[in-house]
Amino acid sequence: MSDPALFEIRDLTIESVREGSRRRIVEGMSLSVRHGEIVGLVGESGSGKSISMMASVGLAAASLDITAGEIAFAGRRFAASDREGLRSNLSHGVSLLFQNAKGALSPFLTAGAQVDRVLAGRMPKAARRREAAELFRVCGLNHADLADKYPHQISGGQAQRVAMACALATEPRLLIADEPTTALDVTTERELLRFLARLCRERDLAIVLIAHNLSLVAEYCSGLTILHAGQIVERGPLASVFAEPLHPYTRGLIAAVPDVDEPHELVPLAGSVWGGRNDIERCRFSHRCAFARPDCEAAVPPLLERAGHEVRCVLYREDAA
Amino acid sequence: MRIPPVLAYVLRRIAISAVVLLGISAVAFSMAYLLPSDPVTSRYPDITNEQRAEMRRQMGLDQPLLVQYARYMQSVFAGEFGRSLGTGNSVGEDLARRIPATLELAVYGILLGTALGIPLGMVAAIRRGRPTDHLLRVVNIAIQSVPAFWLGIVLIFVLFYQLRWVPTPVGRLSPIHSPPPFFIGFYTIDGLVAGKFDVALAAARQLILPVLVLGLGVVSPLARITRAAMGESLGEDYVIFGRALGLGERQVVLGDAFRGALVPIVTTLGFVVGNVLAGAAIVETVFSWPGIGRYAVTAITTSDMAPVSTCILLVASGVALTNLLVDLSYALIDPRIRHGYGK
Amino acid sequence: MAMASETVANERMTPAPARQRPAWRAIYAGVFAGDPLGLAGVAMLAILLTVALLGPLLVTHDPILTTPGTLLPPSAEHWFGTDDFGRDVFSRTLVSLRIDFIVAGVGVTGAILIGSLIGLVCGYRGGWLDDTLMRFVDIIQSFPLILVAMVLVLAIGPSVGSIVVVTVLINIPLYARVIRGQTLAVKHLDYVDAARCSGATELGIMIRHVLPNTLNPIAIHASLNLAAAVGNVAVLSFLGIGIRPPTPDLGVMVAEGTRFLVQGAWWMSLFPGLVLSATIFSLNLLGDALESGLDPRRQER
Repeated sequence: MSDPALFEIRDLTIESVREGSRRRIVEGMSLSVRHGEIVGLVGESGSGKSISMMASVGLAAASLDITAGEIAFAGRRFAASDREGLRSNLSHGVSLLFQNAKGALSPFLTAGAQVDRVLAGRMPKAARRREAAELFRVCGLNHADLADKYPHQISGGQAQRVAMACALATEPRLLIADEPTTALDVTTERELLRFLARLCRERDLAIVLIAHNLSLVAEYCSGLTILHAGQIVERGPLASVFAEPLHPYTRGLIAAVPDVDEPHELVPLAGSVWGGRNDIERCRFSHRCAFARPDCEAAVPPLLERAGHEVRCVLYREDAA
Repeated sequence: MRIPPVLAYVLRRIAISAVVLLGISAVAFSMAYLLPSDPVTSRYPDITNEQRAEMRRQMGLDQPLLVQYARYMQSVFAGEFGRSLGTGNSVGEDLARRIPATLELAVYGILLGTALGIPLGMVAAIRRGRPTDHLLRVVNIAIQSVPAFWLGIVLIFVLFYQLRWVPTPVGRLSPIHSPPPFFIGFYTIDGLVAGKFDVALAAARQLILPVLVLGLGVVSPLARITRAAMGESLGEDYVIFGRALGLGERQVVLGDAFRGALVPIVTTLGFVVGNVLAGAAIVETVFSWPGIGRYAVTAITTSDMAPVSTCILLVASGVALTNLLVDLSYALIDPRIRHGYGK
Repeated sequence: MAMASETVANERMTPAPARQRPAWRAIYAGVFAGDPLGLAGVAMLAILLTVALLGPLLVTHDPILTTPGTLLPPSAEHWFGTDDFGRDVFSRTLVSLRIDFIVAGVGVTGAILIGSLIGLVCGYRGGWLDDTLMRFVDIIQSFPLILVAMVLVLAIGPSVGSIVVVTVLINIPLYARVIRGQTLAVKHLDYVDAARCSGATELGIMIRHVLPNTLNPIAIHASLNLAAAVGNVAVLSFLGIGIRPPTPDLGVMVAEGTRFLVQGAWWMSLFPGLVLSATIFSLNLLGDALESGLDPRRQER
């Protein structure tokens, strides 16, 4: 199907300047999402997944330098450094969910008022109350019970659903959900993800699901992008990546996930994301990799087509095969 | 009858303040007692020892400190606050005339300082680390570094002696006008209420320089705390989420980020009120302003005990009252504090 | 002044194995790197301090010698003009600066010593002593300090010495409070508990671990406080309560000048006030730079 992408990030590169030295914290990151699709973006803390998605909507911290890249949403193209332009998408079809829902809701407004002020620019006052009640219902909340409560008076799961109602009030076609369930307990986590998947089907909502937990994504996503130290190391359709994970990092991530049906030995990943040398062009996983060879340090390996998806590793070079 | 918790809190605070103020009155009175020059000798330098002893006896100055303090406190509760040797009036009477003068100065000064300081701090926070921020930082430090008395003199010299842009600094109103009938004691407002617009305008023109000098003293601490607190709240998740929902920058910055920074700002504002009341002593001296500050300075330099201790007590009470209002305002600002979730 | 430099030397020599004490060069780099304003403050302060120290050598005229040339405007002969007694305003300003630095410096140093001691003991001991002293500090702090300072100076008897004493007295609460807070924060950190378990005496812990941790806040507060103290000394003498004529003092000079503004003799007030402002400005710049440079939160960013 040649369905054009709803949202596309191309070659996004972000640098941070710290104590005088520049570091590329995201390099050549690309991502494409079609209508009504759930795409997973996976990596450890510090891999650059949140930063790149925040940058894609113009909300990256002002101290970060966005040096390259292009973002397209619903046919409109923006330079990645055009924060103003990108932020205009936020009231026209892109919305976000955060990890810490209680912190994301304004502590000074009641749940009802939070949704109401998002609706304020969109419809007359009379219609807003009904619409808010409807959004609460869609998000599995009782408007009468919760509308007058402040964020500190409700549970984490409820807060995330109120945040969801706020996000839906902008009538989004794309939702960027940044680890929306991390602060929640396991049962609530399942409920919320199932709810997101349903919204995706019923409202033709596309979702970028950011996670550090691969198993979570596996159940709901159709496509998967794995990020390490600011670079994509592997990406492709979920089935293909799971059937044949190629990159040592992806294999490490899968090995670190417990599986009830097929118990295996859990292997924690060694080392840290940015632990290796950052002053040379190299494979940024080599310092943690069990298969590292001298040519890993020679250059950044290119993304290669293998087994129905893409991988960035010298192990799969033509001449090495 | 059940007392609402807020009222109970206020009543308890007032009770505690009353005890603290009682302590302050004792300390203030003892301090005034320490004043060296004998109030009689300094006023009547040429009298004989017998005459002096007689006058001291009449004034009760020969009594032990405790007795004098007890008599002073008796007079405080009678609303008299002792008697000023300088003016011959009861201190209560003297203050009633002077408090409105100081309040008018202080209120406008604080309003001006707040209107300058908070926006400056907000701009610095939004532009943090950029040239605007650095520039504002220098401006702020400069404002803070110019002594009020000298600034007042320079302004008088330039704007009055040289340019004649402001009227003669002779206090609240030049003698050609008579004060408007009392409404709240602010000549500007009293004049407007009485329909005497020329008087209100003349009073406003007299206020320009002293209010400017007093207000500039408030700018720096407010700008500083606003920059720090807003710098923090601008990074809060709720501010970023507000932007992510496409809310206007005004709504996000003024509504959420500013409100998130308001508790430390109000705390500083409370502390600033104390500074302004004390700083009034200097500004009033420079501008011949007939308020409590100048009254206190005169009383101190002439060893006039009752006015000295009463003025110190008055300022301390003002500070205590401000602190109470500040604490109460926290609950209005932040529902988490209102509901007892602490902060 | 001797007292001041001695204190600094002692604090520098205090061994602090528990905390990484960077060398002075590192402190310099850490505090002022990328902060030209802080450096400007230090440079300005250095110039003013040098001028104040060398004051008697730099004066062009006898600062207290009255001459017939009264109220002369600034000229090549009298850079800042002359006052109503025909005294050279430039020379008087230099000498005043010296006196004001000494008074404020000694006063603040005394307040640091006594206030820190009170704060350390209160924070470390806690209990009724802490409660009583801190309540007392609360009460003192709710007083209008300028008025209190005026009363105290008059009570002791107006002289340079009494201004020093009063500067010490009114600033003690500040340091007592800051050091108490810092002590409370440090005294139960793991490494301090560890030292306690390995048999260190309480006095040893105070000197080795708690005291070094109070140096940063003291440095920040001392420079800002010194700025305020210089201003307060000037205010007192401006109001006619502090240093009295004929001893030259910046506040006194500004006050004397006001009487001759009518005659257009602006230089008598202007120049001493400018020097006073520059002194306070440089100290505030330094304090501000220290505050942002030594802020532990900055390291995280």
